[in-house]
Amino acid sequence: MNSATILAIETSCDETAAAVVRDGRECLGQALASQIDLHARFGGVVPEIASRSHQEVINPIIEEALERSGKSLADLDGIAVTQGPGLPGALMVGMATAKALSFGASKPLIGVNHIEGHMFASFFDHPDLSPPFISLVVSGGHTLLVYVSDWGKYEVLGETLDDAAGEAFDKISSYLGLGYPGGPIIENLAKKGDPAAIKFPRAMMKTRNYNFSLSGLKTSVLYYIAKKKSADEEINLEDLAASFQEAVFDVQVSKTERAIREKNVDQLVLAGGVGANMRLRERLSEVVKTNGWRLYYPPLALCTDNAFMIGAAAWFGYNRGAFLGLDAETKPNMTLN
Amino acid sequence: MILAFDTSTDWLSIAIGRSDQIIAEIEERAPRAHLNRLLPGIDGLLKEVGGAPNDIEQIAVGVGPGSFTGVRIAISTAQGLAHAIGCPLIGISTLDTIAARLPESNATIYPILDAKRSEVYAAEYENFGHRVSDYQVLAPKKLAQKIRKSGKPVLITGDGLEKYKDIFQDELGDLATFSKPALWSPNASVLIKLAKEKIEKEPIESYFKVLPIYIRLSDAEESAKRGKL
Ligand SMILES: [Zn+2]
Repeated sequence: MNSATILAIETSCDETAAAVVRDGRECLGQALASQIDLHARFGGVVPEIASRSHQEVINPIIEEALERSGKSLADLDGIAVTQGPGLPGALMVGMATAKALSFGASKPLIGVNHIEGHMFASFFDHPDLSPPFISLVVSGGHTLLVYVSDWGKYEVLGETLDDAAGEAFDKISSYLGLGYPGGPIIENLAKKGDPAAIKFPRAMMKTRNYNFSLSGLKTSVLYYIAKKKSADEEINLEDLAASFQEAVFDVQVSKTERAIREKNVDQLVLAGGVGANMRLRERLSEVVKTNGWRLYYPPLALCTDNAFMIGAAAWFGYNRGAFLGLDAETKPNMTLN
Repeated sequence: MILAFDTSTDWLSIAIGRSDQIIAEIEERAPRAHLNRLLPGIDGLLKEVGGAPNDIEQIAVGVGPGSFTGVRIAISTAQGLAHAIGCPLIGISTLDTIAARLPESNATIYPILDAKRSEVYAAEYENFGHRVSDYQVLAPKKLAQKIRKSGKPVLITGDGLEKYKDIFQDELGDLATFSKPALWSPNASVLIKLAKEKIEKEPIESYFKVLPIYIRLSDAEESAKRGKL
């Protein structure tokens, strides 16, 4: 593989991020603007607000990342950008900016799949990580199990048929009036709760495929809350949070374990915002320890969307010579493979 | 060399000027295709005049109002280029450009752009292109009634006429004159002229401070404002 220093840009959802990454492993400098506060009062990401905010901050963020890295555009070997999946208008800002930088500075442009990026975030702490491995990608927008047999070779074993994990956390939290984003709020409550207190369904636990479904669980939780409220009974939020969270993770952990066994690998890479959840990490650590496997996950700050992970994945695209033309478009529904 | 473009409407308009001349330009309809056609268009024009990105000394960009996405594509592209090339960036309202496209006169001019949802973006210009109102978004009928009340003869231009010419005709009768459709797009050559005038008059801001003119809030914010949330 050829050495390369790449400026990576990520704008697929509600974080505007830029990073300068050397050889897909070393972060020379990064900067990030989170929009969480802008979307909080709406209980979820509002696409038009996201696009406007990306537009306002993207260049200052890029300049800051470059400055921290001590590099100028001329020092770079390429520009990378998240091409999809993501919000169309949000992706558009990143793509138009990256294309113009690439054209103006005469540097090749690499389009990166956001999910691929998430899986590569673990390189930050584990530069020696290499396939084959199974990756569990769980975030506000995604829940999937991927078999990575070799660099750039992805087999999506299964994914959510309805809500992403993070989305379900947000909806429960918002229904209880606890705020946004729901992930950290539910996790904190759950720490003091009993995960076995309330019996919630484990959807698709028994099915032989690797798909997930959270809509049934979400309905059960909402039904439980409504029933308690109408009976004027107090809800133990901590038990509720712990029981809900456990129902989500039970299925994820069990399917992940089965995937590792079936593909006969011994490494698991946890990725995505929900990958920051300590209970999920704890549950996966147990499984991995019992079986003598290894578990990798990124530092907390790199679980959520960031540009380091895009730069990490882009190094492989750079070496494959997979460059985008001036007519490149975004791919809001981009899949792996 | 100065490069200018506007993608706030269905049009893709790009021009390159040198000294006091326009040396190359493209104007074509490209609805929803601005992201994939803007840079190839710029690249093509540069090649046509034997130039390279580094020959660009100034960039002028149309900042709307118009299609939110179209405006963002133009400004993101302009900012990226200005950053990479290290040249100044000048933002010009799309309505200003459309108004300035008409032959110079002391008429009262209203450029109108289709803002979807039965509304138009508009502003009033007088006395050789001086804007005398805010940029606004309103129902065409409301605008027409406002003009009628003023009693002034007006010249109306812009692609908002495609859908709403009849409304203005009915409301205003002889008070209204309409420009030819060939003059309805935000032409990049005119944009260059306005940008040059602006450079003479005002200090140039940092390239990343050139931002879109939206006028409208996002739907979510509109609903919140009306107390639906
Ligand atoms: Zn993500």
